[in-house]
Amino acid sequence: MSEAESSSKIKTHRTATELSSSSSSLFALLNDDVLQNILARLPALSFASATCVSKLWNRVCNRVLSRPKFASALSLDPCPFGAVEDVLDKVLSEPIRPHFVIANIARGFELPDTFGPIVRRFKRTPIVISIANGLIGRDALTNEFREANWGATDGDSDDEYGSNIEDTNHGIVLTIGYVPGLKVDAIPLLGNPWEPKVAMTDKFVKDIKKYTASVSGCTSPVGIIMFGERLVDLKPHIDVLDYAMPKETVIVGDERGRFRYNSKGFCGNGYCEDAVALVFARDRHKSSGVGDIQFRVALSNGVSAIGPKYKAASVTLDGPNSPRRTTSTWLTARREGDRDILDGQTMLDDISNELDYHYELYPLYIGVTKQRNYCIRSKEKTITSLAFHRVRGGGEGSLYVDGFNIRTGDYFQFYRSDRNNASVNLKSLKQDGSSNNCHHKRAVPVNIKKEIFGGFIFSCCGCSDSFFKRRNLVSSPFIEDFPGVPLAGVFCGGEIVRASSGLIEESNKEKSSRCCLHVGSTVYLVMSYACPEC
Amino acid sequence: MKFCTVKQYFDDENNNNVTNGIATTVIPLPNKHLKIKANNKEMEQYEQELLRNVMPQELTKLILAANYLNFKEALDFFCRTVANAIQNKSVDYVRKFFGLESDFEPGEEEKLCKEFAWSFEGVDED
Repeated sequence: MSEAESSSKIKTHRTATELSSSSSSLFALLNDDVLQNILARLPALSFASATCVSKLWNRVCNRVLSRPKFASALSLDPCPFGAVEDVLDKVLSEPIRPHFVIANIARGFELPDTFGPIVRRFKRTPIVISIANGLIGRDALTNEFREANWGATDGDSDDEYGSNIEDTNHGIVLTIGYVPGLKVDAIPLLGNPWEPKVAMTDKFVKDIKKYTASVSGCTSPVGIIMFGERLVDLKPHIDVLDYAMPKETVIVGDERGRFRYNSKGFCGNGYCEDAVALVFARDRHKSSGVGDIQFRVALSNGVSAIGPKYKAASVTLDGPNSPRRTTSTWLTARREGDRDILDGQTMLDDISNELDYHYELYPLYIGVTKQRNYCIRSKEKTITSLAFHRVRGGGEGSLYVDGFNIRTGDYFQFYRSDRNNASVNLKSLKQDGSSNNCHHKRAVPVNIKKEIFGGFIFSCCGCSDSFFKRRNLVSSPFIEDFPGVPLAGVFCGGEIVRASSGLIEESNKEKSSRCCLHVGSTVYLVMSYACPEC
Repeated sequence: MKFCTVKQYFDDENNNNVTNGIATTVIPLPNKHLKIKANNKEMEQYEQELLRNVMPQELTKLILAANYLNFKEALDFFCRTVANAIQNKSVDYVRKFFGLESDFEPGEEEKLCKEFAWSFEGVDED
């Protein structure tokens, strides 16, 4: 402390002890509004101290933080320690209490370097930190809104631990949320690298339901934000989750990344984690003055089907034959109704010639309708859903695509990037959606006013700025419709979104099969708060 | 416009809220404020000076005066000064600064401290 400060401190002590009675009575003349004026200016840490000073201060602090709050900041500083410090300072510069923390970093940063300082800062708070292909957020120092999309690595390398030394992607976006009325925890989906079985998904679903039941009294979480491990095929897990979770639960996430997490109640068992879920459950003990928070989603669908339907004929896995790795698949197919088997080149030529789509330049996918049997809680269940695979090329007589778990007889169609399909109406998310939440036993007034307090975007990294030549392409709709609302997001390699029709706004609803794992799309998670007295 | 209550004050003889000394500090404030409004650095220096020379209950009186006079800029300024004074300080320091005492039950306070344990690292002790 400086000399001047210490001298004034001494003065303070003397004065305080001498005149404490008169000073305290004088201070008591300050009305709540003035006290609120003072306390609302404090940064988060000091604000937390202020909350513990006295009952009056506690009451006023609760008035300052009476509504849910999001705070997020982005830094593209190449030095990881500087970047983390900048975003932490920014995010903690106003009153807030962290109920959860999401940190997303660029590939050029190391997970241990950035995870350490954040965990030390936020003790006993659920944290997920993941590596993303791009970051979206408001700069901590300049306040400018930015999108940095570095695209996917060319062909997922099998080397989990080695990182590209020349990786020049640097940055972190940090989001913390204060969500009164909800409780949050990070729940891992454990994987067994030697025996990947759906049985682990069973445990995952059980853990989620058990946690939710302990908080809410029912097994229906409000929402789940998931981060998946990129070397794992998340689809079977998502399918089971989609089947097992109640309709009202909204699920969003990034399918492929690498992550670390800190949980209040769950820990890894020494195996690798295939995914981690931040589960948000309604607190049944919340006080009556606290309103309801809801997850709403908008899906801007960036792909559309082109060409005929095909049926997969021969399917061969490429690469080391280990189901845990995202390998590639060679396949041949026949057109629906035809008998001739087509090779990869023919199929691709059809696309480029007949439909004038240059698949070498723009992302091309196949959407495969998969009917699979799962063993859920010792019962056999068949689930049909749509899965996307990126097309890499055609040669040696076959079509070459990313991923696996395609079988002979699966139907598929080609999907192309299509921005025409992509416009989505975010404003409609402000309206009251149907909420069949088990806690709404009392009738909800029809015109209840909802306030949007935060947003998070999961956008396909294939939709790069250079591709579409527009600044802040994916975040503009949100910023225009909800100005001033904190927004952050990531560019990822596969967007998870699952929501019932009342809670999602889609740009086009052409898909007939259930689809939770998207490509080429942008998912907007919008958090809304219904104030009880409004 | 800002001084409608000042007129009222001068009319009202039995006013205990605002002493003359305080009035001389608060009223010249808008002039100073306008002069240095453009220059934030100077404002910060003035703020620091004020903090060093003025004891907490003086500051409290200033706030009360500004509040009574309905003088928003001065009120915001003093509140900001107070907020800066208690930034990054421990709960005990804040209590001493304002001459407050904890009125929590022993168990309550412990519970609160536990809940906010995440924030108590890196705080200046007294």
